[in-house]
Amino acid sequence: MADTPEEPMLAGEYALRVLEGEELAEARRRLLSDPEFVREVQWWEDRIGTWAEEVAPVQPTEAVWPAISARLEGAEDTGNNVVPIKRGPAPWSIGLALAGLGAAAAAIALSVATPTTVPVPVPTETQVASSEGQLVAQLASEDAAIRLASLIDPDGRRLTLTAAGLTPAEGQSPELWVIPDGGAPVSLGLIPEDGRFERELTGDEAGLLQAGALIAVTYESSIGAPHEAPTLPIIVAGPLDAV
Amino acid sequence: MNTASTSGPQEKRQELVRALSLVGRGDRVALETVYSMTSAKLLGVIIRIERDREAAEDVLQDVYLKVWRRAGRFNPDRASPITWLCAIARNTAIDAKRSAGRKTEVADDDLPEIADGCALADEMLCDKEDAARVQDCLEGLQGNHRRSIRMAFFDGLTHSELAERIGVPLGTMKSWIRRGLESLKGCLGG
Repeated sequence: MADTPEEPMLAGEYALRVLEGEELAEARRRLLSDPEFVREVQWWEDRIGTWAEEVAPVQPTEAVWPAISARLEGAEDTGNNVVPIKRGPAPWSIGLALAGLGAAAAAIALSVATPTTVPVPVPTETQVASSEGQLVAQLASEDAAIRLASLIDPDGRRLTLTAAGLTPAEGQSPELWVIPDGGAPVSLGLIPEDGRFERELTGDEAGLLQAGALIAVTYESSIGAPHEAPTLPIIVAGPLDAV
Repeated sequence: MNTASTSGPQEKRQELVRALSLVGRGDRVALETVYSMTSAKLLGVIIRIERDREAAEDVLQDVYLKVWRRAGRFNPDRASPITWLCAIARNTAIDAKRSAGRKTEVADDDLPEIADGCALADEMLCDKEDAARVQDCLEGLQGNHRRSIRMAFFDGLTHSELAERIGVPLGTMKSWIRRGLESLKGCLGG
């Protein structure tokens, strides 16, 4: 069990959704970095979830289903290839990083010099050339329906990623996170649901994106990115490796 | 709207699993079936948290759009379909309330009642055995622990909101919840 003596019931408290502040931040960090903690949260959710069946039903008004149906139509009409990124006022700032993220993590320089060239498979037809000193994260869901390939250029200043199969609800978008070793998740902003995406990294971001850091994707509100902390479920996650 | 009104709980559960599986493959008619079978239950869950019918119906729309997107990930071996749907409803309602920073107060009399145990099983596709076991363990908890955990669950309240509502210091509330969860975990064999 992933509970620790200091936080013996953190997974249960998270599933119950009573946590706030630092405790909530700690639970979210462990959701992204501790698979055993994720299993424990699921264990609690599956059990306390049965209580919801006790609530007496309330019939919705007749307007609700037509509204849902109309929103489904609207979602289909927007096409399904590259979805425009909705940007907040400071889309790629990581100034809102969680409290507790040490300055040390941000100061770590990106320094990778593995002298081999490995072909980098990407999940769509887009081919991305590989080169020395890249950092790569290949993420996929269990059924491989969702795939994400991220590359950080050798100078650590450019992020290229290819996403496939991400399906956030209406009003939500996929958000990319980096979790430095021992640190809290930091948002790298919204990414497309399908297709290729490229952008420059800030120096702070480059500092977090080092080999061994975890990369994860969650579905978050399309408004207000970068968000302070990720929410469940984690859609895909995996480590950033040197090529 | 009463697609399955004549069948028993087990048949209903199977029908719901089948419908969710079709939704996962992009079948919109199946989504309407899921909606017919479950929307009243989910709205009950949402209203207790939102405490406002109009806001709750907006959340209900969001919930079925999530179901549309996520049905392919539902695993019937892990949880009953209604538990899975209720969890999406509860979490979406809590997210909506907390992101809006709302703290409306409505007397509990106005809210849907909570039945003892799983009395609504016939109607509501309950997984009777699982629910009964969790319920038995909950009944075994100390009064304050049980009350706090139930209030956290049904009303979607945080530690500090619960402390304020019940009128105890934050540390006491945290301790009640933690000790209640510990007892529950021991009873359920986690």
